[in-house]
Amino acid sequence: MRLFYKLISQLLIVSMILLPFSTQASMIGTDQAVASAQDLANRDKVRDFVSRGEVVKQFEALGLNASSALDRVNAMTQQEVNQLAGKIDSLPVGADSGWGWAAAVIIIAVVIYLVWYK
Amino acid sequence: MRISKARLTAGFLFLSMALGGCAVILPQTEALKTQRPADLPASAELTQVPFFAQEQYQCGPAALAMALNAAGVKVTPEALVDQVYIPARKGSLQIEMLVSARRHGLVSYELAPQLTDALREIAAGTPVIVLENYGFRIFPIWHYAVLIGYDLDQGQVLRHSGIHERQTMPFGVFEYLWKDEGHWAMVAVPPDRVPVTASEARYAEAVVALEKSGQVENAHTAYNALLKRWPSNLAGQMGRGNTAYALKDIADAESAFRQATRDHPDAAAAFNNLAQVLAERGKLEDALAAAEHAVSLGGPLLTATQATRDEIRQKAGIKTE
Repeated sequence: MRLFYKLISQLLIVSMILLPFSTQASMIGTDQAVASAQDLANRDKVRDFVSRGEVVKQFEALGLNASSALDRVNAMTQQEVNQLAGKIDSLPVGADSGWGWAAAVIIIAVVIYLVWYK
Repeated sequence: MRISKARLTAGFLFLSMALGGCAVILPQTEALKTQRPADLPASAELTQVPFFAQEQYQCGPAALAMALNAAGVKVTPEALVDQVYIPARKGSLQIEMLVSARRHGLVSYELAPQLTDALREIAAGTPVIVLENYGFRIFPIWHYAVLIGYDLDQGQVLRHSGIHERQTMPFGVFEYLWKDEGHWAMVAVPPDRVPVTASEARYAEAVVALEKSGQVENAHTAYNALLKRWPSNLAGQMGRGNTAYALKDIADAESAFRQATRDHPDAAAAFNNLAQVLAERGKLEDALAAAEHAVSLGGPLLTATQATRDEIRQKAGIKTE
């Protein structure tokens, strides 16, 4: 059953990615119209597909359920997916205001301000 | 939390360094103090931005909800948790903050890393989401807050942050907290409004992303707003045409692509899409001329333009070579 779900989710990824290309075969998309020749040459659909699936997997490993991981990755542009692939663990995540730690920093900063900005 | 002796020593060392050269550490505050931009009102406060107190670790959803509601999208922080919160990391990524605003039909725009730009957006009525570091570079504690006002005479910003509503903070302190992630700031604006500090290329990119995410109608509105500010922008013209086409307004699509071919005679994509639209409207002769011209321009889109031309030739009853 797990395998079945996995298969379905992968099929979904493929179809979501291919969908924009399959409709209106003769219209050129806005992103392609403004991409430089270099961008277009670098564009590699196979690699793009792999990194999108990778990010979905990383999200799942970080505690998201399969369907919301897929939703979230599908809402991203390819550029955003490329920025995230393999880096979700190290990129900044805004979390807490952490006042315990902040106190030290704030005190220093306030002193700077009082001495200097006023 | 206890502060170790080593940390205190480090703090004093830093402090003495800071007093020796504040301009080096807080250059933007220094610049604002010495030369106030003439176009910036002395103070501003956005009273229409609602305040949502954050749950533990969830400043991302809270900050985003404040910005979205200010832009007219009724949404609670709880509803955004499933779009931007990552349980195992107990926080929210910047990219997902941008993506989530887009999913609600808004244009997500990352500001230039300038305090004055953030203040200009506030003066123009847009709250600004910022990413701050409450810890240290090597041990960061990231936090999202929403700037909702400022006062140049008092030298402070006004922010909704965490559990603090309308908190004031001196420019220097804010810049210090803000500097570590490249002075990152974003706005989420309704599609009919271009942020006052927007740059042409980066705003166009932001609208293309909105279109790609499937928000065709909102993207169409945003392309029109973009063209109002920058009438000959290629992404704006192509995007206006493509979204009009997707919305089944073929006449509008034709006029957009035609304008694009006039302003950008080298844009093969513009001729290609114009040809396609003309063919669909039964103007086969004009369509064929545009399609042939698209092919003659060559370039990386050649395969696509050739396919369009061959299709139109077939429609017109001309044999392809």
